[in-house]
Amino acid sequence: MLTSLKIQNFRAFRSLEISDLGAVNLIVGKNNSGKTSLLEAIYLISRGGNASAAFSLQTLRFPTANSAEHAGQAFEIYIKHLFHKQKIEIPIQIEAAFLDCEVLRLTLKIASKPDISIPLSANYVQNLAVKAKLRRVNAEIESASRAWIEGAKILMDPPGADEPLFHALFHRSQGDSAESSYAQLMGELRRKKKDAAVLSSLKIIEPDLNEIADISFAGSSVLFCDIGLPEMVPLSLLGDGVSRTLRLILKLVAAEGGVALIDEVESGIHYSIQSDVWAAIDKAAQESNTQVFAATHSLECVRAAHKAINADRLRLHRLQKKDGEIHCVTYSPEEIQSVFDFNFEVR
Amino acid sequence: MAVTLIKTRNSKGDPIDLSQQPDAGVQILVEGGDDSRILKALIDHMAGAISDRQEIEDVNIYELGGKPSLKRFLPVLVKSEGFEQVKRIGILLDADDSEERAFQSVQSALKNAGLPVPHEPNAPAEADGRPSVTALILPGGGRAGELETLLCESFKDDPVNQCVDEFFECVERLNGAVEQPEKARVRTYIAAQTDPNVAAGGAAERGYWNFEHNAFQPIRRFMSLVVWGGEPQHPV
Repeated sequence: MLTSLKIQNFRAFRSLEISDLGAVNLIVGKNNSGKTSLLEAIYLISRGGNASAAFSLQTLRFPTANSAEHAGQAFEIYIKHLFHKQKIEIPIQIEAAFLDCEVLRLTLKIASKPDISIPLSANYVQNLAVKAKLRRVNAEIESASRAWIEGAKILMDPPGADEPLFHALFHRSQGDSAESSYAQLMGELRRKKKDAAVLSSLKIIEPDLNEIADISFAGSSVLFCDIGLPEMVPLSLLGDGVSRTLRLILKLVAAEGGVALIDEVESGIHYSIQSDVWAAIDKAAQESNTQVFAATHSLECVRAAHKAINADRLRLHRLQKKDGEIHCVTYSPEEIQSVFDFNFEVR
Repeated sequence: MAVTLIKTRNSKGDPIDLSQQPDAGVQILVEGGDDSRILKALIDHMAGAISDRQEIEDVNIYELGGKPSLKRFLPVLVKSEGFEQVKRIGILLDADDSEERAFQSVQSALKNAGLPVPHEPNAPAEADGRPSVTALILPGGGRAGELETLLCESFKDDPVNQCVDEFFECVERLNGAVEQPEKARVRTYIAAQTDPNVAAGGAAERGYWNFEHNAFQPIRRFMSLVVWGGEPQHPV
């Protein structure tokens, strides 16, 4: 489990430190305070010294950018914005400390493509690559790679992606994955006999749920649910609350032992069931040993999480701008209670 | 200068958000509603009496709902967005049985929240980059008691006080000693005023307390330090 983070020169963060991370971490803050960027930083370090991770992030912000026609253009815009104030000459550094005292330090910088001697120039980003170097501080081990775009392809040197250091699955409110991919995810969990956690968590908000199955339907893989009717029902017919929660929990369980990065966690969930949804999330997180980072704009969502989750598991982190820079203010379990007792604004 | 009274416990109002009050440089913490309304009335009185009007920060007065809340309230106040604009903090509590014990509890709460800790009541503590902090324990002077102790002293010379004395002598002959005698005397004094249907805070808003009386000198000094940042040029 991550216990602290230090992020430098990444997107809006010149230098951001967050300590006292919990099992479930709520990230709040005004628009453009860096909530999504924080999740992205965790994703990057999960990929270790794999430089192609910087390009994978692009698809999370610009889902349509991977067409051959637009890839280069999107990359040119996107890659500059990874660096704080677009200063590509200053490397990005992300450091993460873990409960077992492991410390990882990732450095990302602009480099040149191999075998191409073109002067480093911010005007010709397409000729540039991203170089990643990961250092396991305690073990004094380093790994590094370079990645760049050729047409619509991401190429790497050395070729082949290393396994992620830990699972880090993104879940966005807009639906970054097709319906069939969730069905495939469920199928994969069933194959590994890890689907029980999904069902037991979802029963908190849908007690009549007996089974969830990935079924081939109309030429595609679709999730069906047994809620006690004569036939199983497509998930999409059970209502937004259940289907959104199931998708979220699928990703959470699939990230077993790693982290789930959830953006706009409250989206599409009615306030009346938010506590139950958080109870379901927390149950799935505990059973799969997955650490949760969830960004939200909603005070109701924070209140619901506080109600549903044990105080020792929950932390609240508020990102705020002060003197032009973003800082993090972390609330302990006692302080989260005080926030609500005394009616403070924390979003 | 705007003075805002804020209920903190069981509040159905808007959440406390200092980032929406960029001019609220003064934060005062009191125990209850009567305290906050009396302080607001006192600010109005002092602002009117000071002929050299200065640019004064806006003031938030928080009703904590009791002494035990202070230790939990301060850390989240310090962590709230916009706290960096706060210049001065004032804490006004009742001594009850012991001024020393009450003052020590304030010092402990301030230390826990990472704020400057005053060494004595009604004397500001300052530290670079942090707001100054002044704490006053009523009635002051090392005595046990409460706000009502000062209120009783302030109308001691009022002719109505003789009637109040006679009333309680009569009650005590019948029923023995009165519970919370100073609170009871304050209510009785108010009962003799034009609008008797108010508590001590409402009485302040109606001008029933003589803020010029020497009994209020500790609170006037406290307000000078906290609201005006020092002794006013034309002291009350």
